[in-house]
Amino acid sequence: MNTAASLEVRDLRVGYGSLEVLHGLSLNVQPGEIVSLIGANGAGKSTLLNAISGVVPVRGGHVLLDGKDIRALKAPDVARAGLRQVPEGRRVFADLTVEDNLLLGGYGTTTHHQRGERLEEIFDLFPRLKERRWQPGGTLSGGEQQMLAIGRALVASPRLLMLDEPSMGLAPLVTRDVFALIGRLRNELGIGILLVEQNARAALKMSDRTYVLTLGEIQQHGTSADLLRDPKVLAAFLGEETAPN
Amino acid sequence: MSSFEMLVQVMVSGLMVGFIYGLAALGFTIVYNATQIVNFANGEYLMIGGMIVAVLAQSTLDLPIYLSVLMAVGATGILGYLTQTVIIRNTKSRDPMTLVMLTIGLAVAMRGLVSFLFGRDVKFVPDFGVFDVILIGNIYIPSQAIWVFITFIAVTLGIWFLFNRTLIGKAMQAVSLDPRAAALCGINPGNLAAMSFALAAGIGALAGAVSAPIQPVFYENGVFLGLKGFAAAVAGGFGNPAGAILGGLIIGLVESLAAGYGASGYKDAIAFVLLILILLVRPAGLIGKAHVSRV
Ligand SMILES: Nc1ncnc2c1ncn2[C@@H]1O[C@H](COP(=O)(O)OP(=O)(O)OP(=O)(O)O)[C@@H](O)[C@H]1O
Ligand SMILES: [Mg+2]
Repeated sequence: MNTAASLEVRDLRVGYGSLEVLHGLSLNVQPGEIVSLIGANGAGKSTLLNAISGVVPVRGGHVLLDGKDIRALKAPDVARAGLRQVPEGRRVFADLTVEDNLLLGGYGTTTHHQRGERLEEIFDLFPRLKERRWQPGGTLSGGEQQMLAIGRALVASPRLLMLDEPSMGLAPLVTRDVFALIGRLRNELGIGILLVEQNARAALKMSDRTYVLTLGEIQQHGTSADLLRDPKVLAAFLGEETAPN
Repeated sequence: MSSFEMLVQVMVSGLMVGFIYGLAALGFTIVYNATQIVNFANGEYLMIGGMIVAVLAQSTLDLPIYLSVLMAVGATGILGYLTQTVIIRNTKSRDPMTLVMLTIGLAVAMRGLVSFLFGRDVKFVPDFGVFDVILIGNIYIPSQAIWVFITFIAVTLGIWFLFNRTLIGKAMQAVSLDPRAAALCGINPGNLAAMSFALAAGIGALAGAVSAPIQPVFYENGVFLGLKGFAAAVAGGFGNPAGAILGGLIIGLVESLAAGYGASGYKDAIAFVLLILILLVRPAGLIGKAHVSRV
């Protein structure tokens, strides 16, 4: 259960009502890999993560976690299978304490004893959360809430992690901390991480591979190092006209 | 009897009624927090709890009272569970307003079924016994009042423990705060919703059973018990368990004072006037739900 898993999405079609948002999208994430997904507002990035997580129903295609099709699973069961999403806007439980927020991450998948141990590990990772242990989650700063949302996903020892715009609304320095943490998680846990980002430059710099999502389709895909030098990507996402040498 | 003793006596009966209203209000609160549904069938759970105990008492089974109460709580708890899993869950609409209307229909159906199965007569249940009547000066505390008090304390502590000390209780709060985030944590809102209905029904049945010797059992009792429980929950601040209990106690006390000092014909009206006054002064209820979220 605690071993890292691969994620493969094949020909995924997702929509809301008469609107189709993803038109047959494919991507994969291997264990130990950070894969970023960049794209403009409304491109369908959150829709993709929510479809994978079972929050939004899938209309066609497959979602494979370590080769097993989880497309039909509901959100709580996807989470229990070890595929965790840290949602856009963090969504911490505002009225519950920091500790309760974290413990709930292990609901249904961990024993009381395991949760206690995991909690200490997370407090080692985020000393700030330990200081604020008894405070309601809603009183934390944006950066602290992001740490809390990530910590909550980690309590269950995820096999693969998906992060939806973890830098949203954070000051540059805090964003740097969050990205450093994501790198550390990959190294220490050896799990695959799917990172959705608006901050394209930071995402490209820290990931191994990148998918570019435009209007519900993967427009480009390659190693992040290559895409960082690609004129089209530079123009579209990094606000530069030409590639530097 | 001195006027002071009279006041205390009136307060004693008011508290006893208030304990029952508080437990009824707790049922509304628990279900609302887990599902955003105001379950207007909640009063029926109290009626059914009392009815089961009454029917068993009149039967030739000769069961000890604790067994009858246990059966009432178990059967009504299952009924609550089925309310959610069979009816609410399979309703196409997820709109809370539609589901609230559905619970009103369910309440009517439950009353109809109970009157069909057990009749439309008023049923009397003997005191549970064990305790003696307490007499302090001229103040009289019936032995059943002690049972009501014990039940109230036990349920209140149990609910406090559930919500503050167990992961399931916290998961129930999480679902009401953010259902999607809860689902992403592996919490199944459907299971918790069913559990909350079962819990509310079980608590209701317990309240109905212990109050049956005081308030004779009648198939239509659920109507006023539901209204009083609802009013108490609103007065306390809908969704707040402590508020629900406080609201119940206040409505019970005010009703009893009204009745004790010559306005018994108006006691129901006075309780609702009080509710309106509370809401005018404190729109979020006596203990408005605390919101500390930072956006
Ligand atoms: N619940 C919903 N109902 C209807 N349409 C939706 C819903 N959620 C998203 N959409 C639409 O789907 C499209 C993709 O939205 P999505 O949130 O996936 O974009 P995104 O790439 O995550 O954007 P952002 O960078 O702003 O977070 C948008 O056109 C959006 O309006
Ligand atoms: Mg998004």
